[in-house]
Amino acid sequence: MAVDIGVVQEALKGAAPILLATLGAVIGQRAGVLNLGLEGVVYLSAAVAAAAGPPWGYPLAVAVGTLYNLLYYLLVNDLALNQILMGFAFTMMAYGVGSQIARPAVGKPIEKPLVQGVEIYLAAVLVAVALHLLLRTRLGVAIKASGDDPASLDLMGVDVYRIRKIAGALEGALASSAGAYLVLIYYGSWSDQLVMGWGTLAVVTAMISLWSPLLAAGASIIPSLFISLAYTLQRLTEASPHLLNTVPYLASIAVLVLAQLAVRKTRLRALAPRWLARPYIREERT
Amino acid sequence: MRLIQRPTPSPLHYLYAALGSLATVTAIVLLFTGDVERAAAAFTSVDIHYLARVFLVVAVISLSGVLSYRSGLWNIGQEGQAVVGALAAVASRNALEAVALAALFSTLWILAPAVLRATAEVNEAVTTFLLSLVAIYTARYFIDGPLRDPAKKGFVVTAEAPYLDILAAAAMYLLLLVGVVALYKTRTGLTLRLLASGEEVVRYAGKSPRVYIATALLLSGAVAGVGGAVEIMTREAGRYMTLQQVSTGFGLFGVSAAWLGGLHPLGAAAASLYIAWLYQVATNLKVMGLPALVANALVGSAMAWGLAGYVMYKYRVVWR
Repeated sequence: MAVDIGVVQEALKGAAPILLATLGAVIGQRAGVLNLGLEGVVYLSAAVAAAAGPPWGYPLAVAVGTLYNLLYYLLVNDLALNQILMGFAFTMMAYGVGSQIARPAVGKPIEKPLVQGVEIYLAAVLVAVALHLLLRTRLGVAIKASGDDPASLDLMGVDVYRIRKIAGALEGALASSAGAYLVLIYYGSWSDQLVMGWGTLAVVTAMISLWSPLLAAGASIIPSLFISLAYTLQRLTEASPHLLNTVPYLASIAVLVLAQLAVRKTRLRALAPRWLARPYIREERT
Repeated sequence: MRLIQRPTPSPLHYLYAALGSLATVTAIVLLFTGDVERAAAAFTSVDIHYLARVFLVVAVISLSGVLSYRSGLWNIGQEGQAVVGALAAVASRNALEAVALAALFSTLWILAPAVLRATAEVNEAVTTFLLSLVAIYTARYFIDGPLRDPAKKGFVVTAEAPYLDILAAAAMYLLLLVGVVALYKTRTGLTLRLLASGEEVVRYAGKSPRVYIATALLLSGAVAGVGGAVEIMTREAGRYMTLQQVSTGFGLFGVSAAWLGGLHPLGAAAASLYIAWLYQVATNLKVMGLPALVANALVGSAMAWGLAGYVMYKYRVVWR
């Protein structure tokens, strides 16, 4: 069977931002926070990058995205507001603010650096390896413990709130790098709909990869492959581009279900952070 | 900053949350308008028909939120379900058929997340949210294809949805409200609410958690779909969908109203009226030439305050 090299190369190029955002989601979910606001962080940072343009767009986008994510963590972590709904609200607010910020950039091409895809993906894989190693350090163990058994961690004298905020800062930095990459390197342009859905896909990919940075490196290719396939099919077939755009989301749901069914009755099930989406309130410690 | 559990929780804290929201809204409006006179104009100009229409849409969708969140289930795909409902309305010949089809298709839309949650424990927040994005692209396909109105040459728009009088919409909302309140008085309603305490509790009560999980999500989806149909059918003009205007944002508004109303059907009704007024304020600001993002910022802050009210009801925030 002939493999279209262009599709594979595009998939690797697209997998890099998904991998970065997925690594962010892995860290956050490992710490016990299900952050649907990650979609908002990716969108907002992409908008900032588009508005500022290269070269300052990238660091500025990462700074704004990290702060935005930290604000979310302050509300859901310290104030115990509902993680899922706040994430949803943060995404909606980021759509509104981001589209407004980047309005002057609509339709204007952004000068892209020359990247082929493979090297960018390899760089992202290196980040995954670094995070894998981080999860084996004292800080990494604390992050994992805050998602598995925060009460015990607290009893050992570790500030769970602080650990979760560190995880939030890492998550924000990684997700906002993904957003800036999408606009400055992957698309090289901005429109309101361009970045929609990439952050949510990353939340799903983190679950598919069983919260392992190394598995995330492989899992991030799945949605990216379907996104690239959708573009290729748009050129080659007469199928509606609108329907083809739904494929990456539907495929991600399908893979998530398959992954969950596959690990359901195995020991791998224990990898899921037991406190995922549950706020930790010290005074309720039992 | 830490949370201390209150010995006696008081619903008064929802009122404090509403006041906090009002203060935040005032600050945002003053920030955008820059002077008190324009801010006062934005607050006081009200079009009753418009306000009533937005209230009804938000109130219907808030019931969808109440149904799922009181069962401890996280349907946050109301926006997508409302889009599907609006599509069904556009494809219908009369208002009755539109409401029925909207409920049917939005139920089918949430069927997969409901079954996946009930049988495979797949997180419904993630699947319903992803399906919202799918709904937007699917709606664009229908607008550009099967539901495109050939009479409007050069414009990619659907045919017009049937008209629904605002009073008929109000009557329908009242029926839904009474239905939800009545449901909570039944044994089924009690079991649905028990779900929020954990599936084990439902199992101990001798019921199947799977059935009740699916029921809560399907009901929630059906109601959100009706909300989408009401939104497009009660417009005085332009009861069609365009490629650019598929998603209206009322899904977020409904979710916000559910939380600001303390997840009580009647509380959600009061919160919906408040959010409808916020939407009117945002529209007034838009007329003044201020950015369109204001509506989302106002409602987003209302939602944050609603969630804060929920926490303040149980806890006291202390600085230490």
